[in-house]
Amino acid sequence: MSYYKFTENDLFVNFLDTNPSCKFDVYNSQIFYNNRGEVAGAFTTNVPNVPAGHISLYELNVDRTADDTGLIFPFITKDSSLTTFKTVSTSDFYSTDYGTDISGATYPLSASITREYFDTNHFATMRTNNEVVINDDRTEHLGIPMSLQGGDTTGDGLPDYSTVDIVTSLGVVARSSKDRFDRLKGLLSSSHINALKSSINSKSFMSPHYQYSTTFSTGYSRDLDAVPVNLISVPSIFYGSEIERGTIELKYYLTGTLIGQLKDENRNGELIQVGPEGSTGSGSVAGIALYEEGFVILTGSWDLQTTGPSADAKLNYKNTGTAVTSSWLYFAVGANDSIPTDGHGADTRASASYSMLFSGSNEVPVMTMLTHAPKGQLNYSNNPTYLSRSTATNYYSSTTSSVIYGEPDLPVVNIVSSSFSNPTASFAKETYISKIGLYDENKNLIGVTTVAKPVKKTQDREFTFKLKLDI
Amino acid sequence: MASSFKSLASGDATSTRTLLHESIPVTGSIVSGTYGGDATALGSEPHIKTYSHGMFQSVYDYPHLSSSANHIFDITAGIADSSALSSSTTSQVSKKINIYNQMAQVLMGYDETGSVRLFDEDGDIIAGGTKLKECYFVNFSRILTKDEIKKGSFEMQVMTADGFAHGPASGERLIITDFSGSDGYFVNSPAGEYGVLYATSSTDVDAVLSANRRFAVGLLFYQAGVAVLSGSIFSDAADGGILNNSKGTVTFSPAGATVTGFNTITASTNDVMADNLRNRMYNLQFNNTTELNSTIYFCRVNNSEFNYSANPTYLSTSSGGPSEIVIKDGSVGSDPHSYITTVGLYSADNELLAVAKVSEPLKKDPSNELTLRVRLDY
Repeated sequence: MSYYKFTENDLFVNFLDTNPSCKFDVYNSQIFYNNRGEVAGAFTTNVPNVPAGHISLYELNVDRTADDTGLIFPFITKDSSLTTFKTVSTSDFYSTDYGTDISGATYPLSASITREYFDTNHFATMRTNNEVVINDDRTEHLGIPMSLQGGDTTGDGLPDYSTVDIVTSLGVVARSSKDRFDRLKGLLSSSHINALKSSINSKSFMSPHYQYSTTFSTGYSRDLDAVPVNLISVPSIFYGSEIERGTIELKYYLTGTLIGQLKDENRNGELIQVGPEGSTGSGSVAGIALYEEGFVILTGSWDLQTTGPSADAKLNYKNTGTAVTSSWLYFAVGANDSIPTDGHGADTRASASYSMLFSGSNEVPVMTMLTHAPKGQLNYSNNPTYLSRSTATNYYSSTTSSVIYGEPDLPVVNIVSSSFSNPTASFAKETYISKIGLYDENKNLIGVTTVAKPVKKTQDREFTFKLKLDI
Repeated sequence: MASSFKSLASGDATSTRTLLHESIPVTGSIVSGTYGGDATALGSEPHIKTYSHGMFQSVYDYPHLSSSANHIFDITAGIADSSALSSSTTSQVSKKINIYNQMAQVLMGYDETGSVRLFDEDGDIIAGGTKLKECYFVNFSRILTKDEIKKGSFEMQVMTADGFAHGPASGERLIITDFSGSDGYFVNSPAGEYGVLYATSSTDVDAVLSANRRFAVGLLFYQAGVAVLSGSIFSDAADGGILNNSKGTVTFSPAGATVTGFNTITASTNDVMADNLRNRMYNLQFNNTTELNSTIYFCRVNNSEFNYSANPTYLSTSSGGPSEIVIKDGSVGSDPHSYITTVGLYSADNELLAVAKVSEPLKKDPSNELTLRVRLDY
């Protein structure tokens, strides 16, 4: 085996930018991803065993059920590394014996877009509701406030509530302050749009529309905590590092007619209504895009259909029985937002459909290595068939009093091609390069490259193999 | 961007390895019969891929023209040049010998004379013993075996009835396991570790196995993900196999053929041999193993360190006077404190290599010290 060191010019790293195209269509609470519909399998109703519009991580169990075929699932054996799944609680993990298999997940794991609607003054409403929950808790526990332990906060910075001040509530449930705190955490709600406040504000240098709460030069004020907001979340598995700027395009259809189209024409994240020509709100900014985080935030509340036979048509977008006019606030209704499919009434949501297109941006770092096979080198092989054993002499040569071991004198097999079967061609050193090994500085084999077919190497030939490694 | 760096000491980094497993059940219904129905000719099922060269057959878990399909394993058969069947084989004889030799040279290597080693029945190469010269090869896909098949977890149930039917028909069958694999595996293969496959018992009322005992019927190569099954599982003792003579050698397709059991290979292509095994596969299951290598960096934050932030919002100059730390709320005498949200790992040249995030910001002030355990999986 010969080793060669890479020189400075033999190694370089560059990036391959891939742009996967994504298209989501939403119709009557069904999502379709890249025009793929439902495909029934032998065991499941939808191959690869996730709902339409979802993507399957690992794509295992594509047509399997637990009853018919069994499911592939991961597990881990508890050992001293104390590694487990995130879905396994700390108490469950510590109550498990060492050597026991722990299963904390099932395949398939899936992802899709999600729509969330935030109504007018949603943040204030949420805060009021949370206060009611807290007050109810206090009332239920005889008006006794929760108390802290000796230290004010835990190591994580959370309030360190007492675990011994047991109070029996009106519901005859005994709880300590810590129990009450844990229970309250599950009852309180928070705002996903408010959680994005810092991310939104950090992009305000691109457009004033990225101000979470602002007053525009026209005198119009907007506070994302107060105005109705339509938030569409796109998981990163669909786009990679970020959504490519300027590629987001939203289309809103009513009874098959395009009534609104949004694009980021200026590539600054503002989603401007660009179509159809002359439509209500054309040229207005209906929302913003968070390209790096994968969110589309829509606030355009104007009626999108003010002309034509369906002018000012009102649909049951909110599933409350009260029909409202079509606007960007109801774009993608039914996309994993708990709003069910609708029937055939006059105000049915099934009259509307939506389309969202964008391209992802994913950078793959690639290391390129140039490996050289110089003239006059690499003309010998350690392959056992490289030497002819049929003509080998004995391993041992005997003398009168001792036995001496000697390496057998083995000739190299002549594999030079000849036009005639006899005589054979003149001998020449000739090998076939089939693999290139990559070694670290301690000569540990860390990678192997195999060529598609062996390359004939003679003494007067030289080659350079270009190796690419995604890192 | 960090404005101060702290070097990791020699005891601040350690490497660990975690083994993650997956349970892989493959019922016979997936291997045979599910797709296409009984009317579909064997080998023409949409989840079975055959090739014009006829050397092996690929099995998928869904019709293979769909992008959702996963390749699960290949089936082929081979015979050694020294096998008694090699001289009587009339169909694809050179291919079958070449397949055996290729599998053997990769999995068993060469002996001291440069010859390919034959598969050894009990894995004890030095002691010699019985060689497996007529074999089925089941090459599992890497998507199923991952880094290796978990030792001691492999089980295959093979029906030994003459009938040739789609799907997991019940009936007499062998249970083939590597039950000794967890502590009795061999390391004398160039392709990694391997264990011996044993036909341990039949599951039906009829005693299928001769004397109802355990027989070595193949080898399982854990890292390579290859099961080598002896053709003896389909022959009775009188024919050199392991089945009870009262049970008799299995009649492969076509029914009533003059050659039976694995001897069918003499007149059948490898596609037919693959069909024979597939349609007798009742169940197949194993666990795989993925090695997760990790380095754990203990990032120690002492009481007097990292109580300040380079965040632009950390200082306020709104009053027009000197900069003030915002979160001190104007109280000059109070200690500075910060909230740790991110740990950056830097190279010796201060190049940012990796970033770790905490689930929620950690308050840091001169009265506390933290050790952040950063795990890097690779």
